Amino acid sequence: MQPNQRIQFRRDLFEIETAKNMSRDEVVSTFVATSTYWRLLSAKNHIILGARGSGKTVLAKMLSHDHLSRFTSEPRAVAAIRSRSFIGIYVATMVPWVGVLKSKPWQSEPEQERFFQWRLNISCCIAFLSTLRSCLEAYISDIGERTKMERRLSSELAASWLLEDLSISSLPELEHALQELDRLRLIDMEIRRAMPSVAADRMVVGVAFDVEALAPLRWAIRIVSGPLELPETCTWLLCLDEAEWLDPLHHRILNTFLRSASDHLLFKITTTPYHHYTLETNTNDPIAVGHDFEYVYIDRDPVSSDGESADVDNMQFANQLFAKRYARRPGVRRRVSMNQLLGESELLDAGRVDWKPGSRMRELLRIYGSRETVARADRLDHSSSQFSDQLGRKLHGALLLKDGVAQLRGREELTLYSGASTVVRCSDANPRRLVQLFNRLLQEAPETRGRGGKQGRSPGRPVARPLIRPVIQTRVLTTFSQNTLMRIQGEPVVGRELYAMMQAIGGFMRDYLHHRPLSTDQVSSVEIDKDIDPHIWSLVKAAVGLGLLYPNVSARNPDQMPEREGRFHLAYALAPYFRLLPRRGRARKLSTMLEDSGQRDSTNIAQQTALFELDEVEEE
Amino acid sequence: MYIHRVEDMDLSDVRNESYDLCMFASGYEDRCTNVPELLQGCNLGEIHVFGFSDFRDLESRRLHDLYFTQEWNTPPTLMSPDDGSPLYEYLNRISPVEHSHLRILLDYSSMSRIWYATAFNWFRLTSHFSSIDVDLIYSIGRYDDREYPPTVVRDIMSIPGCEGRLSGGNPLAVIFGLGFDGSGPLSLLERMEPNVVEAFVASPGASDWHVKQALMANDEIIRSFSTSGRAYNLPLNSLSTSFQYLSEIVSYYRRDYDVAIVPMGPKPLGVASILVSLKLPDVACLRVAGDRPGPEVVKATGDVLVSRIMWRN
Repeated sequence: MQPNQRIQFRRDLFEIETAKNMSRDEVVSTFVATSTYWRLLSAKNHIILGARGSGKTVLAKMLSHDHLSRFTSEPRAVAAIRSRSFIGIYVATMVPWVGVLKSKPWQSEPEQERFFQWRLNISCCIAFLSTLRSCLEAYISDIGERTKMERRLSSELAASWLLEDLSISSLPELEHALQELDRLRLIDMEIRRAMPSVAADRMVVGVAFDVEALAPLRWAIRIVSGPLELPETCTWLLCLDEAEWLDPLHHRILNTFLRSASDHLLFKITTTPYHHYTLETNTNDPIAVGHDFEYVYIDRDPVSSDGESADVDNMQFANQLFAKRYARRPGVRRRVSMNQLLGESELLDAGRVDWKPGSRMRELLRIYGSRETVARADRLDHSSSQFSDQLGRKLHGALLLKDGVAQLRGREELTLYSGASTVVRCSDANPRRLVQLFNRLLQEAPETRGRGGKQGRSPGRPVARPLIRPVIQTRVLTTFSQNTLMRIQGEPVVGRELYAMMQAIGGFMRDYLHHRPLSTDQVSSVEIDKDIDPHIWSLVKAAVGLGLLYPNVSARNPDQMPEREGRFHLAYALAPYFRLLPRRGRARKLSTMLEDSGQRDSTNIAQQTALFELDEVEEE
Repeated sequence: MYIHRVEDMDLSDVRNESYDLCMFASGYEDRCTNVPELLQGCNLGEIHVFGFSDFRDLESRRLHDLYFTQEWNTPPTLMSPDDGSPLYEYLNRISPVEHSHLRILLDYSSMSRIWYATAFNWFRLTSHFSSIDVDLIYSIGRYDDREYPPTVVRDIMSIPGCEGRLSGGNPLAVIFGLGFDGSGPLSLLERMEPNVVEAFVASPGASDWHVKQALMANDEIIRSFSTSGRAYNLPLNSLSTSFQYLSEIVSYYRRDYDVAIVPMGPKPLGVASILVSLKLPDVACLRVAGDRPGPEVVKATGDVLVSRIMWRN
């Protein structure tokens, strides 16, 4: 039962940044299908990697039958449902669910495994019932026939799961019976621990689920396949969300499924980067990437190595996301596009900028540029296209930013972090950040809609006036950037150390840009190598999981995460706070940045943030 | 057994009562000897003291262990804060032939949450007694007016017996019990992503200052995240009222949401949270393991809170 499907009034979906808090209809109506999504809707095992807010839950939910069957605007989705080629089941491993697994420290490893398998079995079967309900609605149009089929299948499933004594004749009854079974099992476990002498006389509760993992689900699939007339080619996709909260032991069990997956039951497991903890299984052979499964890395670099096409894709995605959510906004009287709201970006939309000697930009280059860069500019004067390619594009935004910051006096504010492309860039193409930014910006949108056509500040370039003034946009982005950084401190386990490290990185980059003569070498990435301190590497991985650092993945192998060496660029979301240009630049060694800030190795960071372990958080 | 009733009592009720058994805890806090000192000479029945398996080298802890050994003739039985199994062993030794109706006194002033939850589970699961009356006693702590360092959340786990309902895809409603650390609930919000957030504070609390401090520290979560835009007031000095109010708050969401209570404030409201979860098994109660810069040594105010939980078959 999804009570939020009963929501009758329209909600402002810009205020809802996580798919977990959206109803099925809201998720479906605002979903922007990308090439990644269609790649996932396939008969392969996938482990989906993405930073927090990158859209993993939405992807997993949209693979489930009850969402996919409602994605009627997309012909491929309609075809998949009509042909019964894919049936997805969505299973969330939420905090309370995982919390139960972690609450039994007295269990031996075999007991922990058995408990995980039992709970996974019963949870998958409960989730299966939602999918079955959706299948019945999609494939049996006559309500009478559908009710009869539901009664028949509920009864057969109950018998298969050894619940036949309960006279179950509907899916809600079956779901309730499974929840009750789980409750009785937990009581039974506690009795066996608390009163072993009493336990000897007790029958084990829920033996049907005390079997090999996913066996009860496979039985259920076999039971329903005939009555639902599913073809031989039908593939069931078990979408397990947020596996990062599980332990390595649980991942080993999941890996065993990936290894032994049949063509008819495959897996889509979401987790954050570096939080697929092991390739080991419960057999002697580990799983093999590319053979047993594929990684799919969904964080999209707004500035990838092929430059423009990534930007175009991301702008398109952002436009669609904005349009879909805006269309559902309560009280909207007229349509507004993202570009109308935010306008062009002085920083990033270089366009037709005048670089001739004597121009304003040339003057800024003379003031802030290094000698070599100024000389190079003089040498390239003969060719405006070469000038633009080699210098203009790279320096334009940086010069404006340096000058903007240097000229700030008193209560003056920057206006440069504005424009649609800057907002999209500063979201790191992360859907949650985009929605958060849109929400904050829309709160600043004026009551009356302005008209376009006013001249902007960049010399020689007319800029259509956006509905939200650049100074307001800059204020919103800067506050958002600051909050993104501050919230790191509250992250479990690593918060304080991670915050210190990100301050060191951002601070280094800020000083490099603002306190040195400008060249085309702007630093926006960190470089690490195999000599990295293991603890610092763990912080880097945590930063990637939180979308604070993004690996510079290769275009040839975009799903391959760098392991202990490589380059990672600072999230563009942090650019406004550190007064950086949100674009890819050069890399510097992380060790250099940390040394510069006095945090040479993990010892220093650990000393600064030494903590005392406490078993529970409560006031005494 | 089930929770038949929760009643508020007085220290004088405890002094006038005869108990079959009594459980204390020995830790590094001075408060752990406050209640035993108040109950010297009372009819407490068989005494058992549980001692934390960690921090045994702290000077205060050594003194407290010595106190229980010398004054109560009961050296502490060591127990991990995460595992109450020795408590089960101890309670299982109680003969139902000798005691069809049990009267137990439990001083939870310095007990780990798992310990008293373990005791509650035993009361819930046993069927050998016709009734059990458990008197809970708590020495209220004094907190100074100073900056309290944020706690770094390490992990979130359910309390045994309080696992709640296996989700059928319902949205999540989380009810936070707020203390002096505002960052803990905020970091949990990021992780749990609930649809609904509610919060409660101990009010009236140990003092007006305590209430103001909790509200100030948690201003962001109350203003920006709480669905009702406020924190509910649950009185620290009345477990029966807190238990009842919290049951009502939870009941509003039970039908349409998976509900989880996360108490991060004073212990009596943690007890109320566990009792609500035991009474309403579809409601989970979670505990948070975290790290702080140093042990918080809390002194007793001298006031005690006494409550009776009546368990019946």
